[in-house]
Amino acid sequence: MTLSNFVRLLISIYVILLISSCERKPTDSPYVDHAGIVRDTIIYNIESFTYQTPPNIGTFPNLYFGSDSGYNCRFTLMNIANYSSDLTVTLPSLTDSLIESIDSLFLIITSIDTVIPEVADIYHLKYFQSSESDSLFNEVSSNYLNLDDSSQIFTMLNEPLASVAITSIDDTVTTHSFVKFDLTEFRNDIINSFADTAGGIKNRSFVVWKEESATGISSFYSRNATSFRPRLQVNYRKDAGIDTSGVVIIDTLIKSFYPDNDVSIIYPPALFSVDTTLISVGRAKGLQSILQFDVDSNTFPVESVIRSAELRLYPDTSNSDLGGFIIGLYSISDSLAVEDTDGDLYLIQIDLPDPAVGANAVVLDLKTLVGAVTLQQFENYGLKIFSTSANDPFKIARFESDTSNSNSNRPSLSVEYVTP
Amino acid sequence: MSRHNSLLLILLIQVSFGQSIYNAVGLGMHRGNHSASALGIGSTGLIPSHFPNISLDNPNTWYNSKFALLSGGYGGETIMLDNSGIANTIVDLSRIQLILPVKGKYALGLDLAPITDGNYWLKSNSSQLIVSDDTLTTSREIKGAGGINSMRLSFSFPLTEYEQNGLSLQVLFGSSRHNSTFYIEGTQYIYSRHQNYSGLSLIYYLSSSRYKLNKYPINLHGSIGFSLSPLKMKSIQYHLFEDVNGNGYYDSFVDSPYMTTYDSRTESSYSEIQSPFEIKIGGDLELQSQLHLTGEISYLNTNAKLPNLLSPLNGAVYNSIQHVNFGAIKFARKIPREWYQYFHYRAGLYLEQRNIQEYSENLVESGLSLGLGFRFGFTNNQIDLAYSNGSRKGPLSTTNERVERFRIQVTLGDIWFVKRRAR
Repeated sequence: MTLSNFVRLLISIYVILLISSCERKPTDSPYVDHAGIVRDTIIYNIESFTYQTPPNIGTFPNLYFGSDSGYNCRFTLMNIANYSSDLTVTLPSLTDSLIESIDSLFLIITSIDTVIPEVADIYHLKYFQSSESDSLFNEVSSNYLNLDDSSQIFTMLNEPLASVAITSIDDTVTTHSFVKFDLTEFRNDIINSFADTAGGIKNRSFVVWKEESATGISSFYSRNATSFRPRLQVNYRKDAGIDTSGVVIIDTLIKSFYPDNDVSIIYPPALFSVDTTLISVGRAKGLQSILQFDVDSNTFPVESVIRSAELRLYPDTSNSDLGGFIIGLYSISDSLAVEDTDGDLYLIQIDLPDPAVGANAVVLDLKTLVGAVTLQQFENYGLKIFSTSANDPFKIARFESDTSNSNSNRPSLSVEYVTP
Repeated sequence: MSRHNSLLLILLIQVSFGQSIYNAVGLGMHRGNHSASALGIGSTGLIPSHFPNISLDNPNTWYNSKFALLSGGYGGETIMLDNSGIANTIVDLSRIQLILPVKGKYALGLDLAPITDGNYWLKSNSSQLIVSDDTLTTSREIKGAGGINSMRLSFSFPLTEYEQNGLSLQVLFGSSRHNSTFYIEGTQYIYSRHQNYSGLSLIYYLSSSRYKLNKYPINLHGSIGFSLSPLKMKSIQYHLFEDVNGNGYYDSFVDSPYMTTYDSRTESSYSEIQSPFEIKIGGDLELQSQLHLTGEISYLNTNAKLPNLLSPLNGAVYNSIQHVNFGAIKFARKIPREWYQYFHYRAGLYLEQRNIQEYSENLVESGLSLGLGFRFGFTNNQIDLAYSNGSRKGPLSTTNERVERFRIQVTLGDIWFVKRRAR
């Protein structure tokens, strides 16, 4: 055996022996300290105040007509899209020379009720004629304060073109009932008015309202619904060319145009003291609340991480029928705005108990938000709490505030944190 | 990859499973010696043990070699806790070294070696903690790896006919990683730290062969070392995070806190965390031409100033280390007649005491060392094996730790940098 072979043999045996004998186990030691790595802080002085904003339900899946309990759903605006639902036809193309005739034109809005609504209800429709301006309304921000029916834009409305009773006809497919405005008489005026022949932006809006009646508020599907959206239905014939035998082919077609914006404008009822002394949220009444608590980057030790941060709100006993009610929270920026999208998004959704009872706290998870404040990712100016679009906008959830007579029912923030 | 490179890779692999709670003290456990020959007599390396009058650690002895030496050592340490059945082993490169004797009077050398062992893995017992009316089960695990290394440039030259002196410039460098993992009801929170070290030390060696004890020659050796530039440390701390997905690493979009815009690192620098001073004295009594008795004593004051927060065990650091050892060596015959005369035989006893800051009780280790060296070839090639078995007890452990060390070292000699006569 040569020297080099001998050395290799020795090293190989050595490495095999060493590796086969290696173990990997932690050693228990009482000197490894872990006491006090978890701490908790409870902040009770959560200040709150409730305020009223102009109701905005533009992103809701429903449109509302009529009035009840102080809520007045004065009118609904719909802006019809330029493209048909299958994206094959535009409104200007309906004025093309190949169009033999527009046979009929309907605006159809479908009730959310499967039972037939009151046939006595009368719905009115107007449209905005020959307006070159767009954004007559904004479904996110338009409300009764900036879009009153007495405002200037309504002078652009033509005279009422349709005034129809509810159509109590069962849809054989859906069994839903609907209101069907027959606009055939005005089809050429409407299509010419809505057609965007110049390549600019046209205002293709309808305004619909319900005549005052005792039947309260009626609900219809909006463009945000997953089905039964409002639609402008056009029945027409089109020249499809000449076949091999020289016969002119005429296609008979039906196209639907959905709205690309719609909103119901609601005039809210007046505030009551119960609204403002409690933490109250309700969409149609425009109730939102601000919660403020004293947490900043110095509240917890350096290098600590938030293990949990739970905001506890105690539902007021006056709440009823709020099962599945979802509340949302946004952190607010240094200036408060009424829109839902101000500040950074920390949307938290929670199902309220049904019935909500005073003693059972609703727990909102603020771990991410408190963690971000602790790391100075943003300043803590407070939270805005509001009713989300998943709720019935006419329902109001109320919670005990920091002025509650019962200390244990006042809102609190409980934070657990871990320190290195 | 060539066969030689593969072999080198195997040699450099560090299997870092070894830990003792004492590795978590300060900057880690100081390694007393780096060569198999020194380990064989439990020495720190001051006294010659590699070959008659040659210690691989002491530059003053290198001029006695007729050949340039290239040496590499590989070794391990096994810690066994009494009554626990736990045995952990670390295996790593103990040193690589090049020694160049010049004209039988001078010597130069360069070596690279780890000098502290910061490998540890410790855990606490689980305990119950009541927070916000919830009873939480918590525990903590700390794990560390790395340590300080030394690159030493040495030279020696004669003072008188009997006295030799030498200097070593020691560049200290290295890094270590420390993880603390808190387990709270099954969720783990991880806190990590990375530390880089740098420093510069000077060691002066003095040796004398002037004296005799009765008729027996006794060679005396001493050294004194101190900091030229105290050990500096740059510490990078990573923010504590909740390991939501339990993969042991921070994932910014999964783990908490979400740090997509947050710089999670905090850097801090410390200009003087350790400024060691060391003194060693020893003697080598030559009873017969190949039989030597050795003794050595040393004292190391670390002058440690490691901030409490950066010490894995709440501020525990080593203050000082005292070491004493006695050994006997029967060197191989210059011209062996029998097979057993090719071998060096080494044995020794050692006692080491470490003082840990804020603890009145010292960490005391004592043990027995054995070594064997096999000389081969004309140029004094050598393979050394060493084994030591000791026991230690200190303020941070409730039971004794049994410490086994083993090392293998290959030294190749050659005639380098010699102007050959033209034929």
